[in-house]
Amino acid sequence: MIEVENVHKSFGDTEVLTGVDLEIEDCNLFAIIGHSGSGKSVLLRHLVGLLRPDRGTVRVGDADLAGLSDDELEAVRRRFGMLFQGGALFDSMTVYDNVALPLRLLTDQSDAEIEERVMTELERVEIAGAADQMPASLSGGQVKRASLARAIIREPKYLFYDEPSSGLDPRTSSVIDDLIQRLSQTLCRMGIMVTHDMHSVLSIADKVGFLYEGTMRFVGPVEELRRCDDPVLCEFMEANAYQL
Amino acid sequence: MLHTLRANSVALFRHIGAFLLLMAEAARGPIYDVATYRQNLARQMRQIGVESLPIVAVAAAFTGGVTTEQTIYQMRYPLIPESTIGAIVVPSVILEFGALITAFILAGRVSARIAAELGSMRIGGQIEALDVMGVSAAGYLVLPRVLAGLLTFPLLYVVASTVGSAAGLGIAAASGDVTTTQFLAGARSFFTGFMAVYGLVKATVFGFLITAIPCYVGFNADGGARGVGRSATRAAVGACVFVLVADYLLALLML
Repeated sequence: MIEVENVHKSFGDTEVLTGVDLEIEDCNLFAIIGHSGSGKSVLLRHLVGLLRPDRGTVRVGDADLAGLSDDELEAVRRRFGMLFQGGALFDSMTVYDNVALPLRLLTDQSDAEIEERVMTELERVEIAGAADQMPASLSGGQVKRASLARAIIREPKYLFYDEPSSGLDPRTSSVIDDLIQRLSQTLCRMGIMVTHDMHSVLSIADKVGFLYEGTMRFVGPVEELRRCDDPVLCEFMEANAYQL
Repeated sequence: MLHTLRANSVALFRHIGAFLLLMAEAARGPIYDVATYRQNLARQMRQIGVESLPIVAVAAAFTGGVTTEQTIYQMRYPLIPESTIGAIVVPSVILEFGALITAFILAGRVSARIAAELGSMRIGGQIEALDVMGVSAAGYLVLPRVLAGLLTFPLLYVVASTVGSAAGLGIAAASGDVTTTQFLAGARSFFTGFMAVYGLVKATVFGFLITAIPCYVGFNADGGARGVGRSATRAAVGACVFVLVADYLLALLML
């Protein structure tokens, strides 16, 4: 379980998070939605320990991320996998080497074992044929898939997705959605997704949190979101209705 | 004015503190996989050392040649023995120019590249990706680059000093003002083992600055493509300035 309690974060004079409370349960796919600049990515970076809150706590399992030493934080993060908005693949490595990197650095597995694992994950995300290609020669969708394969290669307990469908056409976006849903269901991982894409949210998320003016204005199951009666949330939904 | 000075001083100390923390983190960073680190180190040593060799040799040759010409020009007095030219040129190359010219070339060639590379990784999310994997990004990215600098710079310095001195000798002989024997006799009479030790210590310090400063600058890059360009410039300029400061401090402490 991930628990966020009264998290505050400012950058200079700009208050981005002003008391966020949130609980995310295991085996759930949780979507964080909100307007541009509402602090979704900032919140996600707190959940993975890339940012420390000015006030409040972020607990992942038993660990309070803000109170951990660098070594302890690294140990907790080894249970994380993250799909970055731009993929964040290393340009100087092939897709295969990018996906193999966490296994090479963090496990004692032999080259043969690593190859088997990498090819399994590349097949799972349907880009096994691009294993020898460099990231620069991949399409946007392929980059996301390769990044997803790298994120899940060590079978992390927690999977984070930062705008998984941004920059993708609707068809590729829906393929990525299917992959995320399959991972959530088949591997029973906790998934936390930051997105603008209401189509993705309504089709694959279990629960949704609407971040507005630094706090969680709505947290609930997707069905409840569909029946929204909060004018601000309704306005946000209507503004993104073109995606539905 | 006073306010600006104070703000700049605070910023400088903050940068120095953050730089030292990054270096400590890089040194602490566990070696997760020896084979991967060996490959990274070999790649960095090739880029910093082998690929810089031709330009360092050319620059050293011209520096040695010009130093010799200027020394001959200034020593054209009947009472000064010709061997003085070798006694000035060779120690100048070994004590100063060999390391300094190499440092300036590497600041443009290596420091800018490292800062741009790490800056792109910061902006492209690769550094965050390593952090989220539970891998020390400083240990994985900074350590091999700084180690490569520490190992290859002294070798480049030896090449630069040798080529610079040889070029000085060649120019002196070609000038007809001094014979090879006189030049070598002068060089030998003033050369001590300490000069080589001093030069190597200096080269090691410069090797650290030339790689560690751009690692810090690149690691803290922001602002997209413009930020990457800015960090490359800052790294090259910063490395040159700190090399000059270190050059003076080492002369003060060791000579």
